[in-house]
Amino acid sequence: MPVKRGVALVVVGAIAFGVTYADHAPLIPLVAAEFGLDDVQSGLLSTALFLAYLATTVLLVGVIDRVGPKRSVGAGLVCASAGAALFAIAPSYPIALVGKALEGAGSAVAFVSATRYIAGLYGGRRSHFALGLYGAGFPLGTAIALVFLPTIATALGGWRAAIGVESTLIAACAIAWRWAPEVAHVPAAGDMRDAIRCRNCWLASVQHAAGFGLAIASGTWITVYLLREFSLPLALSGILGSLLLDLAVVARSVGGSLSLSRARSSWASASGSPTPRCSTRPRHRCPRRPPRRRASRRSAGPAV
Amino acid sequence: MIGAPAMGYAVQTFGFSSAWAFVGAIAALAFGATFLMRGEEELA
Repeated sequence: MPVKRGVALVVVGAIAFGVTYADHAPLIPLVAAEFGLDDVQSGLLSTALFLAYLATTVLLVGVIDRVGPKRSVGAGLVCASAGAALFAIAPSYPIALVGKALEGAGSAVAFVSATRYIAGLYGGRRSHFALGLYGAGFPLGTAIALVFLPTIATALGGWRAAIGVESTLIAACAIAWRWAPEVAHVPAAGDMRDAIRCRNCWLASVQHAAGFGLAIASGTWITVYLLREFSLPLALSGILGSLLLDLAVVARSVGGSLSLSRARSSWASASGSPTPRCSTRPRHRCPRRPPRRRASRRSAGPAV
Repeated sequence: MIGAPAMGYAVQTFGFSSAWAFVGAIAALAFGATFLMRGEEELA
């Protein structure tokens, strides 16, 4: 039961962060009109978020690992809520960028920590499906932003009120996170330097950029596309645009499930046992099927 | 980080078709990269 509660709360957190990735996207026509932005400047709101995300991840990943996953995820939620609040009351475009950057920093603090948190929850067991659910939370949050924020903005009379509601909901998630179960600290098997030296990690980052990154970038513009090209109402454009992200929600969970099935079949063919137990700790890895060719270099692996 | 403003530039300069072409090009690049990646069982 604590495992399910922990996974549920970490997925709720992922949904909250997913909302911040695209909170401005369906409201671009309103935000751009108020601040006088062109399309590139509107796109830079996403850049502010992910640039802060990148800097925070590179600079603070070691600190985050020492602080522990539960406190880091909570701090990330508080930071994201504050960023959304700042965006909601921003008097100018630069302050809006700072608000978006704060959202990105909060998400970065929580992202790595949450994967470590799930590893701690599962202990020696494989956590692929839980990680898939966690990963699906982000596009789900982005889809929710596209569906509901235009409607809220229309109902409450503007984009600032919609972002204010979002900030309040993220703060509620931060409060709910207090009931997440404590987990044992699972140290990462490597650090950022190992990841930078790892060719496979770079290739995996290309997959992540094309999957998650393009989903967010496309999600930023899909509402505007439907609004401008087909003259649809803002709320309907958001709803139809969210379908783009809904596919990612399903695909991520299915991907986690497929990885788990494949790991089980590999284990069964190697050992005859259908129930693999392994740890993310380097000295307690699952015995694996002998590779067809020996790996030529050390890899940071999935723990980074 | 790069995709959203790049798509914004494509939209305001060439129109939405070029923005979606940008998305397709990155996706095709990533698909090609999958053939160079090693799977989990090869990383032990």
